[in-house]
Amino acid sequence: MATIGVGIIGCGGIALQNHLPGLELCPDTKLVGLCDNSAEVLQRAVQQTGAPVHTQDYNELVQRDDIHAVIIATPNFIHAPMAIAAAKNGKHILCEKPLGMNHQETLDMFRCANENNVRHMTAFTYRFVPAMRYMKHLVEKGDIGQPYHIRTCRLQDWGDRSIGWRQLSHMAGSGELGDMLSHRLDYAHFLIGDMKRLTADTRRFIDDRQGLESDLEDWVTVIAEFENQATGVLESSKLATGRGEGARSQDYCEINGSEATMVFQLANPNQFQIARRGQAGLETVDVPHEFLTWPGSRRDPSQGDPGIAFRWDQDFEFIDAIQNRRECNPSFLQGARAQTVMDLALKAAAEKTWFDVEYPEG
Amino acid sequence: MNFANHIRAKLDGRKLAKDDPALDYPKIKDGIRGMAFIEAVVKSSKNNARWTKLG
Repeated sequence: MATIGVGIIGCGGIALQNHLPGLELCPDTKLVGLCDNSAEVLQRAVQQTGAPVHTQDYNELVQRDDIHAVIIATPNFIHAPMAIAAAKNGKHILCEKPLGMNHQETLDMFRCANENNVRHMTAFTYRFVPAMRYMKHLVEKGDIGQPYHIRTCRLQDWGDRSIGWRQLSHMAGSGELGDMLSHRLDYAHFLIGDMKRLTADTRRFIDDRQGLESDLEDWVTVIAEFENQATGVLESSKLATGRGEGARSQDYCEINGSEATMVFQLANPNQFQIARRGQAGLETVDVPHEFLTWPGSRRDPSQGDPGIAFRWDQDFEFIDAIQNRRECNPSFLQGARAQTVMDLALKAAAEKTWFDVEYPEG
Repeated sequence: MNFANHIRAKLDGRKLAKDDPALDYPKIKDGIRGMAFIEAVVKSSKNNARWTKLG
């Protein structure tokens, strides 16, 4: 395969801000086509990118011979049909999170992609945060000793403003759980390991967002016990008044082990804090240069907004996996594993009880 | 400090207004509520971390 032709399905902010600059960093890769069901959004993206092919029907895009891979950045309810159509047409797939509407959908996507021998990837961007990668390296090296706790806190202020399809269960599947906590569930897997059992609670305070009904949760917390006996408390809210939005709002992860504590905040993705046993407080550490970019990525870590630019490496990983005929990291399997936990969290919140976690096999 | 000021007022025979800062300290009822919370936490933990009503 000389040049990889890419199609983007869903041309909103995530596609243009995260994926487009990422693709520009990939060797032997060309953006060929764009698809969006909104003519206005599509036209804006065409003007910005100059992509030669554009359509409002994703089936047209995935059937083209000059498109070898697709990036799906649409509302959640349509991830599965799009990914399955792409896989059946032999297209490699990078799909936004949460991977699907429920556990069964994500399993169907995973199996279909494998059956059709295409590369598949879930856009869990936090795995590309330099501090997160370095923390993972230190955990694997044994620097924190026995993991005791993971604690995450994602606090944003969305108030009562409309958040479009994200506030509707038939389009999003879940609210804050899928939108924000899914990242934390994935990187809890990444840093600490598999969960053994969990409980959760959810709450919706805002029923009406600027005249449009909201039927999904604004707040969620998962409490988990991991297979290695570590405990986790993972909280996320859209209603943390005054906290702001996006990369600059509160986005905190702390892990405590027998030998050290490590703290990461997205506001400083190229730094983290550490306190080793015997220390009385945290010290700030710069992430070593070799962890500032994904292995092989041509991204210059000194360029761009550090809170955004690391996301471009996920597109490099996707294309590199295609070019080298290897699995993407993270694949649809990681998306399905996070969805397993999400489904259980909603069940636990409804039934006010604990559930054992049984993950899908790879 | 508030507790001490309340005692001093009592010893001096001074009656304090309801919103006097000297009355702002945890009373025995607050201690009882705190113990009830701790007992509920222990009960929940012993009962496979089930949700537990505060008594």
